Amino acid sequence: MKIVVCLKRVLDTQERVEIAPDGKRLVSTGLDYVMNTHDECAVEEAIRIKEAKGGQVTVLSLGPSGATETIREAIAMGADEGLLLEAEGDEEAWGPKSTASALAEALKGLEFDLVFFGLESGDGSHHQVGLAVAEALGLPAVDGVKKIDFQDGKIVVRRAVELGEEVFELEPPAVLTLVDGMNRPRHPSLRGIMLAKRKEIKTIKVAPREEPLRLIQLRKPPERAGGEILGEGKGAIPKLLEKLHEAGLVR
Amino acid sequence: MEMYPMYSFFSEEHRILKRMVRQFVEEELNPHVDEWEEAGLVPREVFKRLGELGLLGIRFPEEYGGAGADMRTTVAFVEELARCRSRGIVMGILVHTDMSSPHLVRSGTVEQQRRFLPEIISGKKICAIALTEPGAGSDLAGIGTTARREGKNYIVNGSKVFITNAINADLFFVLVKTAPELGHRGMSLLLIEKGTPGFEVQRMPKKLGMHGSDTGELTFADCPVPVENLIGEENRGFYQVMSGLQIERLVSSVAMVGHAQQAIEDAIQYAQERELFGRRLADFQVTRHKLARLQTKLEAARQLTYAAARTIDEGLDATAVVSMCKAFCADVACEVADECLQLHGGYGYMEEYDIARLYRDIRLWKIGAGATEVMYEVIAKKMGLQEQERRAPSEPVRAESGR
Ligand SMILES: Cc1cc2nc3c(=O)[nH]c(=O)nc-3n(C[C@H](O)[C@H](O)[C@H](O)COP(=O)(O)OP(=O)(O)OC[C@H]3O[C@@H](n4cnc5c(N)ncnc54)[C@H](O)[C@@H]3O)c2cc1C
Ligand SMILES: Cc1cc2nc3c(=O)[nH]c(=O)nc-3n(C[C@H](O)[C@H](O)[C@H](O)COP(=O)(O)OP(=O)(O)OC[C@H]3O[C@@H](n4cnc5c(N)ncnc54)[C@H](O)[C@@H]3O)c2cc1C
Repeated sequence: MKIVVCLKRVLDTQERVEIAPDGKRLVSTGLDYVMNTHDECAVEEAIRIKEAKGGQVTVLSLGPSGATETIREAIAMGADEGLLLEAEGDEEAWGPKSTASALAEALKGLEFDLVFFGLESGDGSHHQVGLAVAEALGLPAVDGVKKIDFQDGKIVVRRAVELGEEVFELEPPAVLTLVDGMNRPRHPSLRGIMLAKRKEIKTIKVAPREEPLRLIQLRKPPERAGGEILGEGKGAIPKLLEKLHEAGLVR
Repeated sequence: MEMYPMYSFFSEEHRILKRMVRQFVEEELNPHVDEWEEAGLVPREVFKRLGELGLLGIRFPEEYGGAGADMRTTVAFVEELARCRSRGIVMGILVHTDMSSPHLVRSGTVEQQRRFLPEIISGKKICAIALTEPGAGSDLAGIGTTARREGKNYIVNGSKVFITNAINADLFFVLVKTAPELGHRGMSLLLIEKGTPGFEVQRMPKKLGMHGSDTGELTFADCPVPVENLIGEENRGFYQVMSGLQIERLVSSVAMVGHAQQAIEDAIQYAQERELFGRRLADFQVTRHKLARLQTKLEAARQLTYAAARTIDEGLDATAVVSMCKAFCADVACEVADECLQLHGGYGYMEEYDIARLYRDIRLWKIGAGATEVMYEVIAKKMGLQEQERRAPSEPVRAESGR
């Protein structure tokens, strides 16, 4: 099974992020970049499939030259090859459409059975790139996959929906976007890190081709009202039941 | 990870390693530290796990499972490992990785390396370094443990105190006198395995801090150690140990910087939450300036660790810079601990916050791995400031042999 994992480096979400005074950008006090968490799970999943069934895992990332670090991190975990699409211009010039078309273009030059994406990126949260790439390549796609199985030559994927799950059967090639939490990504070992260090990362320069999304205004969600304390221990149960009845949550 | 932009001492691979170690510490060490502090030692499984991640042989040859990396990689590892909420556990690990086993790589024979290194690097065997004795700590030339050659064995007699990892360790690098009449020119380093007849280990209970590490006393009574366990050359042990101490002092300095950085971060958070006199503690200018001053000193300390690591990587004599580094980092780290505890007020004195434990733990480093005064002696000597000799010229010079 040949798998390409598309991943993005994002600002460490553990750092404080605030809305800039102009309301059009996020500013972060942090300076450290990490692999997007959904993407980390996608890398882990791809490596597990390779370990179980053989094959190859290639990571593909669009970003600044420093994104080689994130690609190498995936290689240190167990991916085989990396390809960087070195993005020209400011980050703001790169909307999801431009990103998707550049990735789709690069994917045309790669051999694969499956392409993995993370569900969405932790910074922009557009949740568009994976599906837009599938569209551009004319491939079937399942969004928000939480489990992948292989049965009789078919790929069986599950995605969570309200009140249950949807099960799809696919034949490669296909595009899947994977959700954080479907597995526990491994730590790269130091041996893996040293191997990745020696790996050459192929780099192709790309320029944005589509108009970016125009961001009008960022706003903080309204402060949530504080909870109401109904009592303590068993004594709180009658009051709690009353409230639940009022809200129509129990009958 | 960084608070402010600055040139990076590290390369890509180091940053990847740092993130990995940081996560490992958060996920696999910190949830258990209270339990391990209570038990008073690092569980052996921790060493095995570190071995799986390749962290026990960072600078060791790849043929034995090491990573063949440089000192910068060690610095990256230690800075993040130091975020463990039990500094004693950090010390136990560093005694294994950087204070004892490197002797095998530096001075051991191929045969010895083949025999011991794979299990050391995988964490199946744990190491300790045994220099200090009841009658000799700073003055290592004054040790009294002897090893007398008898056929295929050395017969070892004497005792060692304050030995970290004593309970856990399988392999002890022990400094002995093979030619007592030659002073520090008659010392050798022996690798003594636990279980050797005549070798006993006893826990030394109750210390101020570093509760996560097991400190013990070793006694050797006519203990036979095979001659093939001599590490390096006979009677060169003192010099081997002195050169090994450079690494020991550097990694302990890096650990101190990591501990102190975490103390500052905790204090910032506390100062932003605590309200008094109608505002946050952080809203007092005196608080902000205090934290800024501490961070400035700590940055200077950190840069000194980088300079020392670089000096070692470039193969230069690092004695002076490492000694400065060790003395300065210990001073700054203890000051940071004291001031950050102060910012916590009465809560800082209670076990509820990590700062109480950190304050106790960090104090060791003005003493362990070479007391600050010993560092100043080394630095002064490098500056051409040598004491005029008052003793008889035949006696060995103590300042030279100070650890
Ligand atoms: C928790 C812990 C763990 C340890 N782990 C180990 C270990 O794993 N292996 C090991 O071998 N040892 C270990 N040690 C021992 C440690 O290295 C020694 O305690 C240290 O070297 C100081 O030696 P000492 O205690 O004999 O003090 P002394 O040598 O008696 O010194 C006492 C004090 O005298 C002062 N002093 C010393 N030299 C001079 C000088 N030249 N000029 C002026 N003043 C001076 C200093 O203030 C010093 O603190 C450990 C100690 C502790 C507490
Ligand atoms: C073991 C122990 C025993 C105690 N026993 C008693 C007792 O018997 N009875 C009792 O009533 N209390 C007792 N205390 C409480 C003790 O008096 C308080 O801890 C102390 O007054 C500090 O108050 P706080 O802890 O609320 O710290 P805070 O008032 O929150 O102060 C925190 C820190 O803020 C800084 N700070 C405070 N004021 C200023 C300022 N104006 N400008 C700039 N910085 C400032 C200081 O660094 C201070 O340490 C005890 C505390 C301990 C730990």
